Formats: sequence, structure tokens, C-alpha cells
Amino acid sequence: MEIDRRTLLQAAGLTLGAAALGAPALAQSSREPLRIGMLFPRTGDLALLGIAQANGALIAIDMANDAGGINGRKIEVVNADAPTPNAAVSEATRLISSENVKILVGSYASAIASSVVGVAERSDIIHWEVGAIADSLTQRGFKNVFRTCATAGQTGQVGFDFALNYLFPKLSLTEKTAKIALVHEDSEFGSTVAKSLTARANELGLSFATYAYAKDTNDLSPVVLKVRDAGTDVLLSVQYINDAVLFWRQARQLGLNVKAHIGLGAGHFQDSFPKAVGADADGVFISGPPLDLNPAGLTSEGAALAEQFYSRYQKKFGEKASSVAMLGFAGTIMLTHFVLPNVKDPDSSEAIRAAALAVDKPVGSTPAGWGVKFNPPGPNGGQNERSFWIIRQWQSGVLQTIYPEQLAAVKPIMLPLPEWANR
Amino acid sequence: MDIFLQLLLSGLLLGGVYGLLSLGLTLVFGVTRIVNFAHGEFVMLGMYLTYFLWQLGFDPYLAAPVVFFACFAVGVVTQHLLLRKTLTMPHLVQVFVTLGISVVMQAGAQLLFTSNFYFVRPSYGNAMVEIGNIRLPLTTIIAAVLALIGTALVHLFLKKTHTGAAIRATAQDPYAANVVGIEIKTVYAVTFGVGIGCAGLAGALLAPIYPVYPTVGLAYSLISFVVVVLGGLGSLPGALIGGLVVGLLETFSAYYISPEAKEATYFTIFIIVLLLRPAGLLGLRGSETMGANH
Repeated sequence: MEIDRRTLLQAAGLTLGAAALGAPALAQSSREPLRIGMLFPRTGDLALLGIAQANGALIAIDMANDAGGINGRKIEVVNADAPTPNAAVSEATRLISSENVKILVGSYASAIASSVVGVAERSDIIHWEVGAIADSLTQRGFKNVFRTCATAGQTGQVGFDFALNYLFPKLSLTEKTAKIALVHEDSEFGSTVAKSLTARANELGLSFATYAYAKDTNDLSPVVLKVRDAGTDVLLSVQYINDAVLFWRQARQLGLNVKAHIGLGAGHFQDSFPKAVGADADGVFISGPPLDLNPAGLTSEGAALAEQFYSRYQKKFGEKASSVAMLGFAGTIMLTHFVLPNVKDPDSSEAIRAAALAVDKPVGSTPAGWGVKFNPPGPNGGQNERSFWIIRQWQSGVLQTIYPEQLAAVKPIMLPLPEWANR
Repeated sequence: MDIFLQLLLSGLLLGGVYGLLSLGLTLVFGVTRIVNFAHGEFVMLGMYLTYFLWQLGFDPYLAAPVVFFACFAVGVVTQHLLLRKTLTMPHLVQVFVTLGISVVMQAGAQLLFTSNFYFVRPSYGNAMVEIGNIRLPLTTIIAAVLALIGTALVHLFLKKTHTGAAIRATAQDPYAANVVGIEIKTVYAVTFGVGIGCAGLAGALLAPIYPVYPTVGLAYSLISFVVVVLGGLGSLPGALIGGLVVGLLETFSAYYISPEAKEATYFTIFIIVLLLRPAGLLGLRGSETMGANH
């Protein structure tokens, strides 16, 4: 940055003025709004969910401002649109250099987040990630990156832990006898999740069969037949919506009967899934971000925040909050509720970083059921180690929380899944 | 043995669906020499039309003829407004015009229908035909059978009708056809219309099987090009045979080798066929540069 003489004189004047006025000037500056940049994809392919996440984050800001701001300073949101990684870099740069924001909140998609964190790190600005799940984001050794949500790798953890601790006893299966199959599409997404599943299975000493395929396929009958002929009890799948629908339709057509099906990918938790397969969706488990948790499983603070979130979101946007919006809210409320009030000088990223690392809240403290404890700089630094995915189940076309049990709102149905001939 | 028969029949049905998808593409190329990169988008259009007609209470198979004629009209208008002017221009211009149409249609669909997935779900959507231990979905059987009938009908139309004769004459030599009094502009418009009608029809028959969304055409374009080039550009029976070959290769390699290997398998066969027969299985020699039917 070039500094011309005029800026220099202004700066000098301000410094002198501040020095002359002393304490009152500081009080003045502390009443100025605290500027936070909100960088999400608001146009393009990712817009639908990007905007939902930004809306969730906005509720957290509203709540902080309605309560009088952060130590008396209101939060001023500066919105930016990041539909692509390139746009994300230029918008992040603009927010930092022209808009003078001290914290970036974003960004829903991992591709967007990966390019933003570089800019934030260079400019020594905090990047507060609420929705991108690629594990690599917090593995680059950046000191300014904090991630509030769980990662793609944790999908494997919840998938197998759920199968082992919850399904097996209910289905009278054991680690030795159960036949588990993993079916996944072979793009980076499916392969990453599959890798994390394999890692977790190895830790637990479980064995399973894997079937990978390309997601743009028009026919999955060979895969369905293989899974069927292997006598599979528990099916884990990592699929996008297109192949999820095709697979489940062909499972019915070819008579693939499993005792339980856990969809760990992006396909099964969208409303499109029951729209496409109708009542056949019922009984399928999905893993994903927390929503509609049993308040009894939250701390009183977490439950109160959850109640406010759902009602404020409904009022402001005229629709029920989605799990993507919940990610936005849960992440941002950690910043505004648990971190910023303890920061002496919110204009210093060093101070914000120290305050964030000092937070220690038990599981259940946030509306997502998560606690808050960020890993110190080092391996996976900045990752919230108390976030996790949950398991929900389609019941009459609606997702209901099932696992972890203390957060479950209802009992599971169709366990084991009835054979297709009887449905 | 059951598995083998199941795979064989599934593969043939999938191949029939691919043949159906490719019919319009090969027809348009055979006559007008236009490689229609927007082919998949017209299939998408057919799927959306079927979806909305189904929402209005039409059975998808009753909607299919309506979709065919609607797409025929869209094809004639598109040809008249956009492609007519490019007939005498270099191939590259036509390529970019059809690519442009494809981009506009995709973006338009995204704008009008959002990027949501839509599904046509008739009551018989899950109905199965069972022969012993072999189970085949009814909707796929219908699509494959109609692909056969469609190919036969278009073939008869070209061989037995006056318009068909004019189309074939124009395909062989536009200049001579013009000299003997054939309105080649009309011929091009009708051919493009029929080709787009076939694409729309394929969309209508696929709608009960696959979901529709704005970018669904991309995958269909790719598979149609593979099928058509394998079978012989411009050859109608070639499209059907190319479709069956790809369908069988996909199904068998996915089961016996690995589901991940199926594209590698059919592209390997594809390359070998093109090395040995550059014009494709049923294409005439030299048609890789001139087009078939010469």
C-alpha cells in the first residue's frame, strides 16, 4: 500500500489529537461500530444454501446488537458475494483493505473458504468459518483460521459409531457377524468421506465391502446386484441426490433388502430425496448438521439460544430454519456470544485469537448441541474439537433426530427396514 | 446364470435408452451436417415439458406425443431464426451457435425452474416385470421398446414418404436437390424439427426414470455423442447399435470388473473401434469427414 503525504498528515494529526484528548478519545473509538465482513456465495450455483447460511449468521448478529452490542459497540455487517473462489479472493481483499473489517465470517463452501483463508492469513485478519467442511482448511497451519462446525472426516466417525453403538444391539448384530457395505460415488467428495469411514472402521476393527462408481451414471443395477448378492445387513452410502435416488429406486426394483441404510452424503438429507422416492425414503438414516434437537440435551444457555434462533429466523425470513442456516447461526453465535465479549481490543486479531482459544464450553452449550473449544495452533489448529455430526431419520417425509441419544427428539422407526415386498 | 441374464437384459434396456437419446442427434447430423451441441438441452426441455404436463394431470406417455410436436415446433423455429443463417458458414460458426443455444437453455432453465430436481412419479413408476428371478423395470422396458419403434418410424419416414425422399436427396447433394426443385431450406427446417422432436420424445420417455434439473443435458449430450460416433455419424441403425453396445459394455464391465471401470471400458472399445473403422460401426467410409449417406 502506498501512503501519500496527505494520509500521513491525517494520521499524524489524528494521533496527535488522540494523544491530546487522552482517555475520552478512546471511549469515543470504542463506541464506533465493530465491522464484520460476511462473505458467502449469494449468486450462482451455491446461492440457495449460501444465502440460507448467511441468514442464519445474521440472526446471531441481530441478537448481539439487540442486547446492546459487544461491550457497548454495535456490530456493523458488511456483506459480500463470493460465488467462485476467484470472486472470493477479490471480495475478501476488498473487505479487508477498503471496508476495514476486522473479522471475516463465511463461507458455506469449502472451495470458497480455501481461497479466503489465504487472504485472511496474509492480512492478519481472523477468518471465522461456519460452514465449509473440507478437513484441509484447518490443516494448513494458519493461525487466523477458526472453524466452528465439524469436518467431512467426522462423517466416518458418526457413521460407524452409530452403526456399532446404536444399530447393532437393536438389530441383534455383532461386529463379527454383521455384513456391512459401503457404496460411494468416486468424486473427491465421495472418496474423502469413504476414506474417513475406512479409517474409523480400522480403528474399530470392523471390516466391510466397498463399491465405488462414477456419479454421472445412468444405471446402478450392477452395484445394487453386488450389494444384494453379498447379503448386506447394514448399508452405508455416500451419494449425491441423483445417484442416491437412482440407487434407492433400483434397490427396490431389484429387491435389495438391507436391515438399515445410513446415507452419509449430500443426497439423502435433501427434501428432493423423499420427493423422488416417496414413502420409500422413510426409515433411511442420514448424517448431517444438527437441527431440531431435544432441548433437554442442551445446557440451559444452549436451549435458550436455540429457542431464540428458531423463532427469530421464522419471524425474519418467513420460513423454518434449515440445518444449513443452523450452521451459520451456531458458528456465529460462538463468535458474538462466547468470544467477542471477552476481547479487550476487538481491532486486534491477536486479542481475538487469544480470547477464542480461551473459550471452554461443554457439549450442549450451543443450539447445535456442540461445545466450544478450539484446537491451539499446531495440527488441526483452530478447529472446534467439540463439534460433531448427528444422525437423523426420515419419518413420514420429515427428518427426525435420532443420535446422539441425549439429543434425540423421537424414537426410530422401521428398525429393521421391512423387505420391499412388504412395503 | 441368473445374474448373467439379468445383466444382459438390463444392458440391452439401457442400450435402448441410449439409442433413443441419440436418434435426434444422428438424424440432424446426417442431413444438415450440423453437430448439435445443444442436443442434451433439448432432451432436458422434453423432460421439463413432461414434468409440467404430468403436474397438470397428464400421464407421461400420453404427454410424449404432445412433447414431440412441441419440440418439433421449437426445432423449426430455432433452425429458422438461428441455424438457417449459418448453413453456408464454416463449421466452427455452427458449433458456436449450438453451444450458445445450449448455454442459454441451461441458464434459462436455472432461472425459470431453479436448480431443484424434479421427478415424474406415475403410480406404475416402480412396477416390475419379473421373468423367473430376473426383474426389469416397466418404465425402462417401455423406453427401450419405443426407441426401437421410433427408429423404425423415422427410417420409414425417410424411405417411404415424399418429404423423406427430399430429405435424403438433400443429404446426398444439396446443390442437385435444389436444382431439381427441392426447397432445401424447408428440408433443413423439417429435419431439424424432427431431430429436436426426437430429442424431446427421448426426454419424455426418460422423465419417469430419471430426475430433471437444468444441467441434466450435459451427461446426455456426452453419451449421445459417444453412441453416435461409435455407431456411425448420420446412421439411424448405427445409433441404435451404438447404444446397445455402450449399454451392454457398461452393465457387464460394472459388474464383472468394477463399477468404476465402466467408462474406461467403453471408451477403450470406442477408441479401438475408431482406429479400425474411423467412420464408426455402420458409418460409410469417408463419412467421418463428409457425413454418412454419401
